[in-house]
Amino acid sequence: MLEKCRESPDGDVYRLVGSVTHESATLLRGELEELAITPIQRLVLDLSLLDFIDTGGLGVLVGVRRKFQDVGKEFVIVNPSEKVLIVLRMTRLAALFGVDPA
Amino acid sequence: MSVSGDSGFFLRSAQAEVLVCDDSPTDAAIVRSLLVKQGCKVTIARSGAEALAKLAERSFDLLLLDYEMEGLSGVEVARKLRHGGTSRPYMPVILLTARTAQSDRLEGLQAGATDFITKPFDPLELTARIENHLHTKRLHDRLLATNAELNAERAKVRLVQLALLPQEMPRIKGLSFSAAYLPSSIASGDYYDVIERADGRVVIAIADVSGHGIPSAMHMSVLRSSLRSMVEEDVDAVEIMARLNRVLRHALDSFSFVTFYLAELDTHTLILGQLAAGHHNPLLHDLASNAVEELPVEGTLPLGLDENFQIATTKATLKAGQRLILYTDGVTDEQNIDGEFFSLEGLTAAIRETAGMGLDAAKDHIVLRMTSHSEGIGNQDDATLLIMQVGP
Repeated sequence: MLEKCRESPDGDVYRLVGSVTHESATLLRGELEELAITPIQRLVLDLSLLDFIDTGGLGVLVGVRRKFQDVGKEFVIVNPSEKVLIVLRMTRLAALFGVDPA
Repeated sequence: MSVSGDSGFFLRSAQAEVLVCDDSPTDAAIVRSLLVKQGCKVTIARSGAEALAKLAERSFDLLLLDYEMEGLSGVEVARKLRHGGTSRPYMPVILLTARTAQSDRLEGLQAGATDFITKPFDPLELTARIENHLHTKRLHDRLLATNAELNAERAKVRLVQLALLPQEMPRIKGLSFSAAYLPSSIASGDYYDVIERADGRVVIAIADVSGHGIPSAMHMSVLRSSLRSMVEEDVDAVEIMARLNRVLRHALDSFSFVTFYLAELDTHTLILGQLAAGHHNPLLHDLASNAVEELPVEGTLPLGLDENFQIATTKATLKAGQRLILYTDGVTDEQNIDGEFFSLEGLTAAIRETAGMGLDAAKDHIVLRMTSHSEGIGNQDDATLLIMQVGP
């Protein structure tokens, strides 16, 4: 589930809560793609409350990131929960998203 | 009866078959002539029992039932049809009645009637209502036919996909293989393969296309044919990965990628050269010590994402008495009803229980542990397990 947290000059912060699986990935994709065509220049997605994401869900994040880039905007993910960080590292997508603090 | 002309799917020539059940020959004759004018084929039953007998013989598109009849009433016929126990295709049941009380109508609806027509009826209303119900009936039949057609197609997709997996593992001295392939739906985005190179080296591969179902299965088949032809042309493993990345960048949309693990085993030195693109590390089970550990692979991004794809080989040396276990995340991500994952710990524990088992029995045991974890839910993601045993 996608929640809006706050607007800031550094970008609007949204939070992803719960889990992203095959069923919810399509919905999430639609919501994030809509944000790509709003005036938002930088979207920050907080993953601290995300418990689970499967490869389909990761595909959405990768695709939305590309979509933002294509229109000259920025899409970043921050604070992945421990479980999500494991998946991001396993798939080596942590490097792509630049989330690895280590 | 007018047949809608906009869709070629409706059987234009098919005449709607209506069963009219009325113990009054006069009423039955009036209804019949109205419906015949509408283009319907009409069969008359003089009693509820006769109607039930005719319905047992064959199907009709619509049943028009008189409410008050000698013997079985219209409501009793409707009830018997509903609780008859045999599964029959949807058929609208319309009660013809002089009763207008709410309670009588409710009784009819509860018995399974679809609609009422009040006697004395207006001929135009009767034919209009019947036409509406026949339309619904045709839509219903069309839905069933389309469903059956889709299911047949899906079953074919499954067969085609299963034929793309190794039908028989290559016979290689000192090695044995066992695999389980568990699609979450009709087709899977997972792929595994074992291919022997001309020089005797063995290529072992496992992959997971993000997403599920038929689109993922089509990408899986692209992956398989590309890999197989490159191995046949003796393309180097690093180059194979780079070319697969290019092929998939074109084939996949920007929301999809493929995690891929490819390893090449030199059967003389038992040196395993591993390349992982977004795929998690394999596990190594040492049968003598019963230790299970991850084989760390340097790895890079999944295939299909990055133009500037670079990958390195991570080497490991295997020993006789070891099993290399490759899997897709559908195995560890298997959830039970409480949302708990089978997890890497669960998989490791299951593997440790198989030290004394033959290879196929070990594979079956791990699959059983995994499927019984999610008992009653079934696997939510495509899951694949491939085990290679070194030595006897």
